Amino acid sequence: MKKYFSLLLCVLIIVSLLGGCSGQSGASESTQSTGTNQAASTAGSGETKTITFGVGAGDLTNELVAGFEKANPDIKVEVVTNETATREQVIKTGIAAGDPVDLAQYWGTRLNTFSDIGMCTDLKSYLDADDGAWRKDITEAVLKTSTGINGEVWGIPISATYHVVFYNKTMMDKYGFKEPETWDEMTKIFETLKKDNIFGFTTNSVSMQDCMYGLTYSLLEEIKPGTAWSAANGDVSFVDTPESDAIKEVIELVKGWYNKGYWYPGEGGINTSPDDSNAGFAQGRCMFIFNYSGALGIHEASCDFDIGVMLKPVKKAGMKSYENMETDVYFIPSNAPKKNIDSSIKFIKYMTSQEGQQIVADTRTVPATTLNLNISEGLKELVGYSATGNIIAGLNPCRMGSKMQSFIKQEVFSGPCSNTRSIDDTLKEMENLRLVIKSQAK
Amino acid sequence: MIGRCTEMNRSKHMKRKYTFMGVLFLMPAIGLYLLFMAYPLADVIPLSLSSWTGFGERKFVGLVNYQNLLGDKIFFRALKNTIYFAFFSSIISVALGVMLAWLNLYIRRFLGNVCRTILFAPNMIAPTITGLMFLFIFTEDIGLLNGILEAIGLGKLQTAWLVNSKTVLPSIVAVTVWRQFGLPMVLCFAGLQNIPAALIESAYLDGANNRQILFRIYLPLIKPMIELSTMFTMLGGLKIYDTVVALTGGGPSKLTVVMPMWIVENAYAYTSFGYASALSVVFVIVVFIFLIILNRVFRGEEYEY
Repeated sequence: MKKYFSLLLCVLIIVSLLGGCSGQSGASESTQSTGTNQAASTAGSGETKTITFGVGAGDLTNELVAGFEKANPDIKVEVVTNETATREQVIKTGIAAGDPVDLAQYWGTRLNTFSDIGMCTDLKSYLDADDGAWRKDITEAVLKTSTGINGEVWGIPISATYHVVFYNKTMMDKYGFKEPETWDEMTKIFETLKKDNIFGFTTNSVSMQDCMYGLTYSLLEEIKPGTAWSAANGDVSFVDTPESDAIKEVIELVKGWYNKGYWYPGEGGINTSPDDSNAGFAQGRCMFIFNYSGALGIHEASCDFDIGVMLKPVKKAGMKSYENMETDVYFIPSNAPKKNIDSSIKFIKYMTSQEGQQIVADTRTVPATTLNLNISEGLKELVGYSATGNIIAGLNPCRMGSKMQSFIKQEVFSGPCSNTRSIDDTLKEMENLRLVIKSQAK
Repeated sequence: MIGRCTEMNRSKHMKRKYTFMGVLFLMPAIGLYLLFMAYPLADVIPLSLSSWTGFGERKFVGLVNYQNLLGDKIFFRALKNTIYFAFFSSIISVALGVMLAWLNLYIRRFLGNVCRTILFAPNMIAPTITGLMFLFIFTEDIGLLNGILEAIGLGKLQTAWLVNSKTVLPSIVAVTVWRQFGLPMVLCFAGLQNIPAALIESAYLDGANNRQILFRIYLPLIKPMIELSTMFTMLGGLKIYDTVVALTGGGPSKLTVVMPMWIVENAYAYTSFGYASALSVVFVIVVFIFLIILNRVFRGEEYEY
C-alpha cells in the first residue's frame, strides 16, 4: 500500500510540474499582462474584455480609465504601473519576454528606442481611417514627435510636456523678487535666500537632471538656429566645438550653484528622489523647482502657496529661452495580441476625444489636441508657451538612445558636482557615447 | 542454497526498487534545475558571442562583446566596487559575528536566546527594505544619523553620506554588514557550543586566560564555521544588488555601480543582451577565482576534539 502511495505521489508531482509549465506557456501566448491575470474573450461574445495598460501611477490615469470604462462597459482596463526611471526597462522586458502590455505609455521624442528595434505597431492606418477624422483633432507638431521618417505613426500623443521652472510665488512676492530672466538674476535670488537658510532650487534629481540641461538650448540657438536640435540628434561633437563650450558653460553654472549650497537639500541634491524634491518645494525649503509641466497638478495639490511657472532664464538679457517639448504617447507593442488591438485603439481614441482631453486639461496637463477645452489659468500660461515659438520638440539629447538618456539624466551634472568626474571628462564621455550611438545606427 | 539465492535476489530487487523510487523523486527537482538553471547558464556563453536586443534574431558577432568590455570604464568600476563590498563586508561581518558569538557564550540561556534573536533579526529583512530604511537614516536633510550627530555635538561630521564620494562606499558596506553579521554569529555560536566544556576547563587549569582560550582554542576549533560564514558573506557581497539600488541607484554618477546592476542595466535598459552575457561570463570567472582564493586561505590543519 505504501509503495503504491509513494508511486502515486511521484506521478502527481511530475504531472503538476508539467501541467504548470504548459499552463504558463499557454498563458504567455494569450495574455498580455506582465504578471497579472487576463480574462481573454472572443470578440462579439458579449463578455468583458480586459486590456493591460503600462503607465505611471497618477490621477490622470485613474480618471481616464474610469471615464473610458464608464463609456465602454464591455472593456476593462487593467493598469500596470511603472516608475519613470525604469519605464523603458519594464516595458522592454515585457515585450522581449513575449508578455507585453496591450498598451504602453512613453515619451514621443524618445519612442525611437522602441520603434528602431521593431517593438512598436504602426498606427497610421487607424489614424488615417475615415478620411483622417482622428488625425485632424491632434495637434500636428505634437503628433510629429512620434512619427517615423517614412510617415509611420508609432504612438498617439495625448498630452504634451515641457520642462519648466515652477516657483513659490508667495515667497517671491514676500521677498519682492520678480521672475528672473537671466542667470545672474537667478543667482542673486539664490544668494539672498541662502542668508535665510532657504535653498534656491531643487530638481527631481534621480531621473530629471535633463530639466537643467535645458539651460543650454538658448546658448546653442545663439550659435545658429537649429543647433540645439542638431546637438540633440547627435550631429555635433561635444568636444572642442562652440556647442561643447555652451554645454560646458551650463555645467559650470550649475556646479557653481551646487558648490554654493543653492541646490536643495545641499550636498545630497544630486541624488534626491522625486518625492524628496517635491516635498522640499512644498515645504518651502526652496523657491524654484526644475520640473516637467505635467507636475503642475502635483504641486498645486501639495503646496499651500501660489505657484508660478516660467521658462528657464538665459545667459544674457535679450536672448530667447527655448524649451524641449516632450509628448506623452501611447503605443501598442508589436507583439501585443492582435485580438486586443481594437480595444486598445478605442481607449486611445477616448483619451484624445473631447471628454478624454478635458480630463487631461483638468489635471493641469497640456492637451495634445486642437479641441476646444476648459482650462485653468495656470494651465493657460503653460499652453500659451507652445504658441510663442519657445517650445520645440526633440531638443533633448535623451532622444539619441537609452545610454545617452541615462547619461544626461543621471551623470551630466552629478559627475562634476560630486567631483567624481571633471567637466571636460564629462563632455568627453558624452562624445564617446555619441560616437558609439552613431556607429550603431549605421 | 536455494534459500540464500532467493534472499540475494530479493535484496537486489529491493535495492533496484529503492534506487528507482529515489530517481523518480529526484526527477522534478532535476527537471527544474535543468530547465531554469543549467539551460540558461549554458546559453549565456553563445549569447555572449552574439548581438541581441531581446527581440528578434540573434546575430553572431564573435568576440566583439569581450573587446568592448575591455574599453568599458564602468565595467572596471563596477568590478572594483563589487570586490570592495565583498571583501570588506565579509571580513567585518565575520569578525563581528565571531566576537558576538563568543560574548554570547557568557550570557545565560534565556537572555542569550533573546540576544541572538535580536541580533539575527536584520538577516531576515529583505535587502531592499534594509536599503530603504538606511536611505532615511543617511538622508542629509532629515536623516537620523545627521540628527544624532547634531544632537551629540558632532555636527561637523554631518554630510550627505550617500553622495559624498568618501563616505558612500563605506556607508553601503555598513548597511551590508548590519544585515549579514547575524549569520556568522549564529554559525560560530553553534560551533562554539559544541566544544566540550572539559577542554576549556582544563585550559583554565593550565593557566590560560580568556584571550588565549579564544585565539588558541575556540577559533581553531570553529575554523570550518568561520570558513562557511566567510563564504556566505563573500558571496552575498559579490551579488549585492538590491541594497545598492535602494540606497544610491548606482549614483552619484555611477560611482557605486556594481556588477549585477551593470549587467541588468545593459540587458534591460540598453537591450544589449549579448554584451550583458559577456559581462556575466567574466563575472562568473571572477567569482570562481574568489572561491579558489578562499579555499586556499582556509586550507590547513583541521582540529578535532
